[in-house]
Amino acid sequence: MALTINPAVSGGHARWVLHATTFLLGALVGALVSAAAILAVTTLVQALLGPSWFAFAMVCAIVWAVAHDLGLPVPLPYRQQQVPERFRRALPVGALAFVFGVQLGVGFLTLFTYSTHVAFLLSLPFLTSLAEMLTVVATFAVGKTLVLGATIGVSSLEEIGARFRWSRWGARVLRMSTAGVSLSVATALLIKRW
Amino acid sequence: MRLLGRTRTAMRLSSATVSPYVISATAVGTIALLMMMGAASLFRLALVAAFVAGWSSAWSP
Repeated sequence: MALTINPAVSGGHARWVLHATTFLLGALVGALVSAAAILAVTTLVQALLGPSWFAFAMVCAIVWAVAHDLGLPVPLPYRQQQVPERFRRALPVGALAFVFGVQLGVGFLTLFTYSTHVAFLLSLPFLTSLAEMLTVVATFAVGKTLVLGATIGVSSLEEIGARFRWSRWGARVLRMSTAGVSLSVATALLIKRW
Repeated sequence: MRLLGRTRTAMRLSSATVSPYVISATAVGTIALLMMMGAASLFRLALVAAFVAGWSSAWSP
């Protein structure tokens, strides 16, 4: 996303801030759609299983996603594609920021990232108020937008690539950390239920 | 010269915002802190998970 929304493409920092804010709004809308869908499905599942078995099923689902973080090729309901490349040519940057924000905010419309996405979404039915749910969803959108911070001060696309230093070890550390965070959510969920 | 120094600092800082090590240290550090303080409620842990889920997507496969 940093290659699409950055000061070099936006044409200055003021416009970049505007586009980043538009992306944040899009991500928030997308995340709300996903949260609503998850709440609808989990309400149905909870009615079928009952509260205890429902909590157990949610913990199992989080552990399933954690298994993916740990390298097991378990299937997950994510679209095996990135954001559509053709949109970059068809839309102005502002509209693109919103559309990509929505798609990435939904989460399931692009590649699976980490188990923390599954963990925070499946924790939503166990939160005590709508305000808590909205805060968690908004926090996800803010986290998504924080990635754009890597483009602060760039004047060309080449500079952005240099700021994303991928390493096998770094990716492994991140996967272990996200697995740990997700398992802590699953544990808290179990403690809350029992 | 001072401007160049500031530019380099800005680059290092913005590069750090997407470092997998910084994301990992923040995630694990926050969880550890919440647990030590006895404040690891489901809501707070879900907040951390949501933030990390968004932030770490810089390193999507």
